[in-house]
Amino acid sequence: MMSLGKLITLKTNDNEEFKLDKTVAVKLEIIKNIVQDVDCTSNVIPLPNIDGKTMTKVVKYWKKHSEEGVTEVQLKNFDQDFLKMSHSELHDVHLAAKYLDDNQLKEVIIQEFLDRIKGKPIEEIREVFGIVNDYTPEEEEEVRRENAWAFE
Amino acid sequence: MADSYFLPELLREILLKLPAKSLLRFTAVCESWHSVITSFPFISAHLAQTPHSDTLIVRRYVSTSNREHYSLFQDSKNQPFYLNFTSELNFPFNIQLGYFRIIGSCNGILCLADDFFRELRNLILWNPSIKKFIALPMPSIKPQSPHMFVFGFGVDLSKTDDYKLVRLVYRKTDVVVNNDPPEIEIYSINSRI
Repeated sequence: MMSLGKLITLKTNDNEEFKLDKTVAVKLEIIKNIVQDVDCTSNVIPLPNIDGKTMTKVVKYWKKHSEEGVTEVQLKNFDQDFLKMSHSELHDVHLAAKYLDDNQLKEVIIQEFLDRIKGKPIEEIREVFGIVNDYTPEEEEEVRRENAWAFE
Repeated sequence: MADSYFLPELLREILLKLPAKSLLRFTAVCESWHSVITSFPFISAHLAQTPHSDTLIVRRYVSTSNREHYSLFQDSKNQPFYLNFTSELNFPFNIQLGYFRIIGSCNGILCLADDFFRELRNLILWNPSIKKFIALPMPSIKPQSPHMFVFGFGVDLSKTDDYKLVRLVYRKTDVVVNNDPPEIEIYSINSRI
């Protein structure tokens, strides 16, 4: 039985605070290291690279994935729902996961991006990644012709 | 990849997971994607993270139509000696007589020689996954006297992966033990000499 009151507070760069059960928080490499270094159950861990909006999503993900007795199917459904966000939000969550050294969440997001671009026309790919096409129409035509079979 | 708000590392990670065909298509997204995808560090990273598969290339030659067929098969784990057909490759070359000899293969690149029965007529490097091939120049050592030769194809990992074709030429004499050292020539793809 885990002891109550073992909470860790994470503070985002826009001063939003997240109280997490220690057992959830120490799953993450970066937080585990800070917790090991100092007994900081009373202290607040600052997250200078993450905003509250993004952290809300990350915490939601962590809580679900560390729920006791949660089934594979439930997690799959949760992930499907969780990933319903804009391209840029997804990008920010990936950044946060990277900073927090959460490889599982990073992988999930990369997979989601792969699913979003799979078989999509070039125009949609540019939209997903916020890319401005810097080819002239002639140049683009040339690049497409070079590997025409890949567009079939 | 400065023209996107995306972190270059994330883009790179995503691109590395894509198959070769998608990558070729995505060279049309913008100039920076083109230069990243076709860069040496990206290509070798892509090769390194591509899981080793049990895909085999199978060649068969149909003498009636004088055509070669190259197909991909998946080695079946459960049934020994059983291969699952995956796809037929589009073989881009024509040969007048017989079939190509496979000198070797390395990282998915096949080195083929058209020297069936007669003199060497063509040397080709073929990468079926990007459907590209290059014709190599003819060897420069051409002894007038009877000779034998042997080829070797491989990759030089020392600096940047450089594919190299080695050719050893032996003089053919009536003596059973021939002590003449062979002549050696090497073709490097990167330097094209």
